[in-house]
Amino acid sequence: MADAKALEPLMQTAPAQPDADKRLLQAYARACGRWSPYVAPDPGPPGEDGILLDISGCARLFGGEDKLIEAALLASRERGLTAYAATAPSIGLAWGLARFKARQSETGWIRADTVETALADLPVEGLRIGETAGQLRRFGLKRAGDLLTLPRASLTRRFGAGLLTRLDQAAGRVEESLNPLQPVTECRARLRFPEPLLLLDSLKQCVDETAKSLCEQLEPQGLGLRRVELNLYRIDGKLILLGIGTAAPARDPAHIARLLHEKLDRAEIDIGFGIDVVELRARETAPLGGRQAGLLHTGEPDPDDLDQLTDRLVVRLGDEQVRRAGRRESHIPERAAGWRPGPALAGTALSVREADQAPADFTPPDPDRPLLILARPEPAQAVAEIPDGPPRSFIWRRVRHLVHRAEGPERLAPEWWRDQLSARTRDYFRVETREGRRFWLYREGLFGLETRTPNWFVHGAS
Amino acid sequence: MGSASSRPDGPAQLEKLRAKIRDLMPATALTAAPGTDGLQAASAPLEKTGSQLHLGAGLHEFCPQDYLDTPAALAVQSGFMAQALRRAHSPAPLLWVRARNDSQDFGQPYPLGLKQWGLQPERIIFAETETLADALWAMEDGLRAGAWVMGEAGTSSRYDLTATKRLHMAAQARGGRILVLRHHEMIGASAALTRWRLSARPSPAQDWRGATGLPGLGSPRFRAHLERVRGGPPRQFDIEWKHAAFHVLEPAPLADRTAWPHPRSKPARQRA
Repeated sequence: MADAKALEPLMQTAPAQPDADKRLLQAYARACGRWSPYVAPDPGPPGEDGILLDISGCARLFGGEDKLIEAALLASRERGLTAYAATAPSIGLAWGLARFKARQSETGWIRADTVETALADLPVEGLRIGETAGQLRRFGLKRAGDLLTLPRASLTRRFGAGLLTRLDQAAGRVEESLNPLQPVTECRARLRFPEPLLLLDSLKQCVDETAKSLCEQLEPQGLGLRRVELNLYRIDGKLILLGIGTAAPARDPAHIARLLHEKLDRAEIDIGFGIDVVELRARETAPLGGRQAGLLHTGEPDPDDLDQLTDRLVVRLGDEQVRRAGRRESHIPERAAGWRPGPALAGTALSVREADQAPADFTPPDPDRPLLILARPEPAQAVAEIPDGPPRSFIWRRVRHLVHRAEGPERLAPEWWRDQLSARTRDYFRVETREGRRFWLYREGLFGLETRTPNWFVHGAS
Repeated sequence: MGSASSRPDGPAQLEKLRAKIRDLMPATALTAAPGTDGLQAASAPLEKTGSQLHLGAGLHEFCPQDYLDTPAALAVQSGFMAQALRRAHSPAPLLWVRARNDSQDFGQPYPLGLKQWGLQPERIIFAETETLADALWAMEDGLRAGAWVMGEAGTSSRYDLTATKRLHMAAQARGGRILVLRHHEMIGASAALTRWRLSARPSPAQDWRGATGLPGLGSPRFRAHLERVRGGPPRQFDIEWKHAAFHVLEPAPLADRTAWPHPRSKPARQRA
């Protein structure tokens, strides 16, 4: 480096950032989704990263393959990337052409009209064979076309089976497919604009439109949306991705659009210089039949309404904030029951219906428990008449309470099967103070066995 | 030109506007005319059958008398909600909304403890929000979707007349109930049908006595001061939670008999 600096004082240096390069490649590959839905990043040695696009059937949308390549190349160069491109009937051939032949052409891109001619002229390095290329060169085999004339058996013997596989892939004799970044979905709706959108309101209108056409696509198949993804392609090549999930399969465009509007408002997206492609994809679908409406208006809440309510709550408040009661196999009160986000949300309406016939999850008999429980038991100073008895008075949060009624103890041993050496037995008491306020407190530690000085904690109220 | 023509029929215009407002307002708000006892009206904010109290459709508020009475107020709120749900045979789910930064620090409702107050944990959707603004939005949205709502107002000034009016209207439109727990010190204007101020009372002593001679806990009792009821006078009840319902404790009525025929002083004087 010092020598290099001495030769060229103006040289600029920057540390290599392989991770950042990888992220950039990923991001740019996603952005290339505007040319074709089948995109995959193709990382290579530094400075030779590539992106694979399957443009079958896409070219005519851009006025032909040539136009498509030109546009894609231009877009990449505008972003300050040094890029070359090639189209070919096979992945292997396109890979090689883009790296070795496109550079020599004036336009920076090349098109393989027939596999034979293109392959015959391709340098052996363009076959994705790594160091084997160097060995081939030592034998004077400089072009892929030279290899085709040689007997296959001797090639395998000398250079390994990998060479032939690569050669066949390039020639299109062996099937090869790319692994697209975004999973293939059958249903998507897309709007493309000649001029970028700059306003959130116009984006929302596009969301309305795409939601409508997506729902129309799903209806004949009897499917409803479970997960939807909104892709916004920014004009400078960034992709903004917003996803929503629904509590039950939904096919109401107004509902989907409303959820996405909420998401758009909340996400504080950076529109930058504008968005020119809006795409809505169905990531996950589930069967959704029609529902029989009640003949009489009973004033019962519509199950659809409730599912939609849950969706709206989740979108606005976040996944973690909308919760249902859940129980766990435990007798330690704070572990035994709580509020949990998650799959219980699915089919909200149904679980409400079934709740009337004592569900298996919540079966009596249950011990008496307080209405409110503290997240962490809080220490209290208590005075008890006998070591094992209930407190006669206790001080909690600096207020003294005189106990006039008490029930207990309810003895809960620690869960020995969990590795908690410090856990001690708890003796719970339900007490009522002189004023009639109810508390739930416990004494930690068996007197004389586990501790000499038991501690008291308030764990709940009322 | 337009203003000049409308000025002569000012009183008529006013009457027209009043009629419009009357149409907009839900009927129940008007049935209990001022002066009549709100407890007795047909679709009253509060109904009393036998010794039980029932809340009408709309917004009801529960304030603890004191900071330490907050769990008691929540208990009464839960009990009233359970009673109302059972009475209406409503399959509606219950949306429980709390604002994290603005709620009382007595902990979270405990699913296993809710059953004691008649609520089914599995029909509750529990939503926790960052701010009261979000909480108010969630409550209103829930009511519009047909859910019944348990809410908490906290100390924020966002919970004002406008906000309460919105909640009340949303509840009445679907015949739902929204019960809101208010902070013990915060009292502002509100469109609620009833407002209760609650404090715990000692429960009746049980015969059973434990090791130290303390009696067991009886059924919970509360002093419920009905501070505000639309179209009725304030009142005070002593209520007891028993057999999954609130019962009003009333002193035994005086025996119905003729008055003592003679003045009481007479026999006393003779004895002297």
